Amino acid sequence: MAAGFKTAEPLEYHRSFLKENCRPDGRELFDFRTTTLNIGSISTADGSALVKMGNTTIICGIKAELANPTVEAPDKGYIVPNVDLPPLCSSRFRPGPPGEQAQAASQFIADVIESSEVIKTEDLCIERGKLCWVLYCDMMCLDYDGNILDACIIALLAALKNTQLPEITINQETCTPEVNLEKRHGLHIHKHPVGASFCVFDHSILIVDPTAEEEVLSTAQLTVVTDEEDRLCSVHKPGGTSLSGEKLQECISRATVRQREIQKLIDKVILSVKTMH
Amino acid sequence: MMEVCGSSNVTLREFGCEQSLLSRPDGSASFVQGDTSVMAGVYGPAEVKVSKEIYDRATLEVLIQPKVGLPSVRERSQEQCVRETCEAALQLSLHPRSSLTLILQLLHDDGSLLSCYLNAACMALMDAGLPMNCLFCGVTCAINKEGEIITDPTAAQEKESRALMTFAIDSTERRVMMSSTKGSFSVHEMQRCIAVSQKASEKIFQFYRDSVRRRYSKTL
Amino acid sequence: MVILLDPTAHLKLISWRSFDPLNERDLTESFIRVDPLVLRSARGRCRFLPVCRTYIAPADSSSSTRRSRCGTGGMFSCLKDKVGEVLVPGDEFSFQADDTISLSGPAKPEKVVCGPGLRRSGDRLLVSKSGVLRHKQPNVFWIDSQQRRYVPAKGETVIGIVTAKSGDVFKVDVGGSEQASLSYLAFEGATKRNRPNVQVGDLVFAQFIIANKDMEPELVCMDSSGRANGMGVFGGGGLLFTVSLGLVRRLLSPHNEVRADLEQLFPCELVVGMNGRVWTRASTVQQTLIIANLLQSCDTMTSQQRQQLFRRVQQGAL
Repeated sequence: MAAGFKTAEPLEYHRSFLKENCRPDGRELFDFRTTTLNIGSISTADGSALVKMGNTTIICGIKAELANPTVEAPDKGYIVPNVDLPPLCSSRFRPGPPGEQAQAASQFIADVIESSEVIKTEDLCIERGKLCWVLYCDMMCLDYDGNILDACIIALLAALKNTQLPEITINQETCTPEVNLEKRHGLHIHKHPVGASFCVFDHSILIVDPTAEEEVLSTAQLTVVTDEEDRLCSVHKPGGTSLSGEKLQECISRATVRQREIQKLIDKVILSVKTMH
Repeated sequence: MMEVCGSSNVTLREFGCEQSLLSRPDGSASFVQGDTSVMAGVYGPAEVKVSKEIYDRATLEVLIQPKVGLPSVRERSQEQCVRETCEAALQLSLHPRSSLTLILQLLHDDGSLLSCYLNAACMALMDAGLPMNCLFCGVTCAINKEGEIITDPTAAQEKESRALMTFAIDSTERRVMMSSTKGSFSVHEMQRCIAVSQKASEKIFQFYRDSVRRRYSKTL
Repeated sequence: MVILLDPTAHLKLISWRSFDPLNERDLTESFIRVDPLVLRSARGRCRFLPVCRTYIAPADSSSSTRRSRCGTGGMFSCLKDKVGEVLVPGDEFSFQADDTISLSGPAKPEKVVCGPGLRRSGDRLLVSKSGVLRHKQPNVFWIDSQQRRYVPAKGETVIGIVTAKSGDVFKVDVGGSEQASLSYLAFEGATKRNRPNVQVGDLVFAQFIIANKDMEPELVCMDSSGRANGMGVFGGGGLLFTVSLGLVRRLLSPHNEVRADLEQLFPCELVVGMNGRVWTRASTVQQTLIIANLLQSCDTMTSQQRQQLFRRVQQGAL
């Protein structure tokens, strides 16, 4: 009976739950799904992390390559994020070139990296004007159940913290770089940006961490990214029904709490990985 | 938390608009903010591709064309922002199984580009006579190194700024429909920028009304 | 509608439908010089006429109590004050609940009929298109906007282009989002044996019998009494061109200046479809083109500019 109701009238089905201040999966309106984190799951990558938020699964691998810095910014390296939504993760994605959602997500992640200064690109410079690191951050969705932006940011942050770059020395005689794979060092993470996504239901009800179903039925989406100093790195609302300043404030408060939780989670997982070795 | 900025006057660059200047599209507009200039054309409600057909509402497509080359990932993300803002403002359920296409052609970029796209889009949709719930306008605010808010910044001011925010404000309740930010900033700064944008939106909406009135002056 | 413009003779209307009549009075006024037979059939078709989509009428008892508390002004006078002004989407009118209850008896329930561009939401009236607010006695309001894309509405007459024949129906392009269908039986005198001669590419002047957002629009080429009444396939010659929908409605409204100005020029046939398509034929190709160009430029001119231009044309400037 309930299944039939859900299929025939999905919006009414969700409304009947929201009326009771809860959601079909038993969460309250401002509850996130259980978030699990695994670090270093890809041994061939320089850094990696796997994040699960409910059913949504994102794996992030970081590959470092040597490159020449640009002429305009001789003392900077680059970070190239890419979000991939393959047909594997949901029936809504078709094979072929990345769709609008994947491209918008990639752009969003790039903006967050730039705005939050999670890594200073100056740190990636090896020799001014000659050699620098490029970090290719590939985030792939394995299972799509809504809220990929939050999951992508967590995966990216954890993978960056996990990244170990080999030491590079430049041979003065031949002017060629020599890579010492034995000696590796971690990246300096300046900030810890964490996102919190919200959906607006029926123009007024705010819910946090939407599932894929809730995303489809919602009238607007909002993602707030904050760092540990409670500064906002991004308030991304790509349209939809309007929100007042007060409602935005509610979202920001929830996002700052979420930032603490996730930073604690990442620290815990990193610690446990270290103690295991 | 809401606070009105100290200076009561919000300064915007000179802006101008012309409606139905193209003969082929069903609605068109060009919008100029200072030296930033965008041309918009709307086609629809027209026949829709079967693969894009939605049974209970119209399909809206937004295409942003840069000055040279093909649209990149940045344009895609801007397209998403404009499309979802327009979707919320339009009454799409009145034209089910049809397609609306909005094309935004960049003519010159001198800062506040996303807000110019939004303004041009709104004028073009209005020109096409599509049913709408409300109007919307885009306002860009930059926070410079001294912490001052600059509304409608030029490209040079954008480059020097520490944070950049673009909001779409609706005309009925003056609330935030879209928000896109760059750089880091405090909650207080954001709320100030929203308040400033809401103030600036009054000016833009009045301008919308005046230009529509000018357009219909010949038939009054 | 087909209008024969001939400065030497009377204005002759073969068939007539004005944009937003609702009341027959205007129709009869404009029919003074028209063949009585056409007048009768036009009246017979009046059941097609209303373009209203929403009513603000006493619906249930709870809302009527609130309405009786409306001030003497209320929405009606608010709307009336704005007639002739330019409105933009998002503007709204609301019932201002008056705290003082009228002692002079229950206020008369206001009934507002909304035309295109106005929409009712709860006890508010929202504007959804930009344009000029128009009013017609007693209580009809609509927004007169200039748009180019046509949206089919029941009862409107349009000029369509036959694009395909499929079985029993013709597919007709009317400029809307979907092609309309036209049954081969929907012509005067057509039977299963006696099919009308319609070819792909022909122009037809037809009327919408079904037009709503959820269904395929359907056209007919006869009125409710089974007569062609000016509708059907166009003959040879003439020129089809498009103008804005606002101009079409102006052309079709009673006592229109543009039409009056055009009458002064030279004799011609003019067929105006509500979908913005206009067909014209004059005695020479040159005159046909002049009329087409004049009408297409009418949108961007004030009435003085237009009259000036028409005068110059009359004096043989073109």
